[in-house]
Amino acid sequence: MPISDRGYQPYEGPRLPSRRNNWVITSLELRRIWASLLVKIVLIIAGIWAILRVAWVAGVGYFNVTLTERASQDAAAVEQLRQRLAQALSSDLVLAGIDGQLVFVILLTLAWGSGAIATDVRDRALQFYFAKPVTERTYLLGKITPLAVYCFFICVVPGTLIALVEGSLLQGQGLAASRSALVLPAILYSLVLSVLLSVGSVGISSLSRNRLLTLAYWAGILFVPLAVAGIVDLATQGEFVWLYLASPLTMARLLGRAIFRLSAEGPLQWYHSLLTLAAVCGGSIWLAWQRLSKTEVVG
Amino acid sequence: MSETAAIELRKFSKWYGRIIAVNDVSVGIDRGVTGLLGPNGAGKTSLLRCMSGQMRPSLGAVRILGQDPWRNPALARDIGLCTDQGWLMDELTPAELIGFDLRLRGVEEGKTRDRAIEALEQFDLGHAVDRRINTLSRGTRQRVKLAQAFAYDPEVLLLDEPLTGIDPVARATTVKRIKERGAAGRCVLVSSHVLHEVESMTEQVLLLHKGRLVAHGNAMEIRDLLDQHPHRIAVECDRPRDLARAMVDLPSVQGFSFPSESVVELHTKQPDECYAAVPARALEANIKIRRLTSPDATLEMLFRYLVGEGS
Repeated sequence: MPISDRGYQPYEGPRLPSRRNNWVITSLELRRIWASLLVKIVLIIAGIWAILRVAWVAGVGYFNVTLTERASQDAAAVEQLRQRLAQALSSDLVLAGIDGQLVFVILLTLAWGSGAIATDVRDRALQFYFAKPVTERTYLLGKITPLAVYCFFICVVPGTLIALVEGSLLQGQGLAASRSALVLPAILYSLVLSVLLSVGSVGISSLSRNRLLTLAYWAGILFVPLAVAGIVDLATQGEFVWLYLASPLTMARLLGRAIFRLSAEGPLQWYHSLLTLAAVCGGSIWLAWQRLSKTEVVG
Repeated sequence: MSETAAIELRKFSKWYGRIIAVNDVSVGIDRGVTGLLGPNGAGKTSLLRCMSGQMRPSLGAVRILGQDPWRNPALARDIGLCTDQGWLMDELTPAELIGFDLRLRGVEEGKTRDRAIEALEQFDLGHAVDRRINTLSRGTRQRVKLAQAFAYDPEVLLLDEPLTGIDPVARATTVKRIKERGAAGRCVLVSSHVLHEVESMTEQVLLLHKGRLVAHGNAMEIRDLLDQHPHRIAVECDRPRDLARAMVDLPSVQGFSFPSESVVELHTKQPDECYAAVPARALEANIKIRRLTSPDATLEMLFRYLVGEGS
């Protein structure tokens, strides 16, 4: 094979500013996350589950609407049935649709987020990133954003679809607009969940280079306070409800109910949750920032 | 120290806890190729990491193109780094990896692939452009790392043991590329613990030993020093005592020792003559040579000699 040596080729093209590096890292991470078999399985099951849930709401709702319209000649009975249907097809169902996806979002953050920085430290990838025009902020955003995007889509798809299905089913009762408007809280709640869980998991992943350890930390933060509060709550019959303040998952759901304008199920109010959620997000970002900005890259 | 030095170290020291890696080094490195020589543990990697902005000096200062490299993203764009333990994203292809690097450095999206392929072809890796990195051999991966460091054409190239694991043909190409960049006015600093490797790239060397800069100058002068100090040549063969008998009349041989049953060590101040004579004498005496090594031709010995520890 003839060898043609073109020799030294200086780069003479334009050099763009490094601020677009957020997007450069994010786009690569989106691909890398999707390339993980475990993540793929979680996403596919989450998708199937979401489709089944929406289909169930649509199917059962359509059946009930049709039945209501044909049920009786008695106008009062029909009205009563309609009211029941309107109550059933409400924001509760949209909220439940999103909460039903929570398990997949948690799995995703355990599978990817909780090891995001740990794996990079272990593989000496920080050497690669910080020998380029990459700041700590760029790097962190590049790790958090793609995970948040996946989490957001897992939650928002069933939430918005259920809201739209409810709107179309209750069109005859003049509730189409109010039910379709549930898309907004669905988007907002999905955003809260995805930001909380992706920021928390990626931040915690900076605590060690041992991926199993960071996974355990993240699982501990999610489940230990929830389990302790649950057990104490059960044993004392609700005397220590404030223990739930330490559980980010419970607090996120509390905020979710407020976003959907549903009343709180216990004495804790939505504003109580803000402290916990701010502590999880702010604390984990602070931890990661400290580790990245002060730690030297030693191989 | 040159006022136009691309890399400048001022009373630079780096320590980890109680271990001193680099101790009070002041030097200016001009554009062109410079070798950073030192045995394992001399502090070469620590020096390169501080130069690339991954670590901070414990004392003193590092200046690259007049700027402090510690977490300096604007400067990082102009520094190409290839480390012996560098990271490669295994699931990507070399073209994708280099494309990612180029995008981070500000090369336009549409031009990154062409530039990446060009860089890979410079290192004879045209066949590996679209193969996954995890399917490549160790030597090929090392060349991918080099192509990545070279692709953007940075002003400063820091290469830590760049020839490790590379076959002889690829070594020749790599040496050629390094020299090209030096000739084009880039500042290329190549670390190695093998003197002849560095000699093939440049005459300018820095010698680092136990964290201290022991010499800075021309490689040929250093080679002469190595040849002048007492030298041992170890020959592993089937009849070491007979080989010693066959070599005893050579004027360049000053003495013998027998460190084991199968090894004879020749003591000389003219190693080249001895190297030439050993095979001929062994052939004449029908002695089978299994291995011929020079325990003194190592940098470690040279450094001991330079710092006065050698006998």
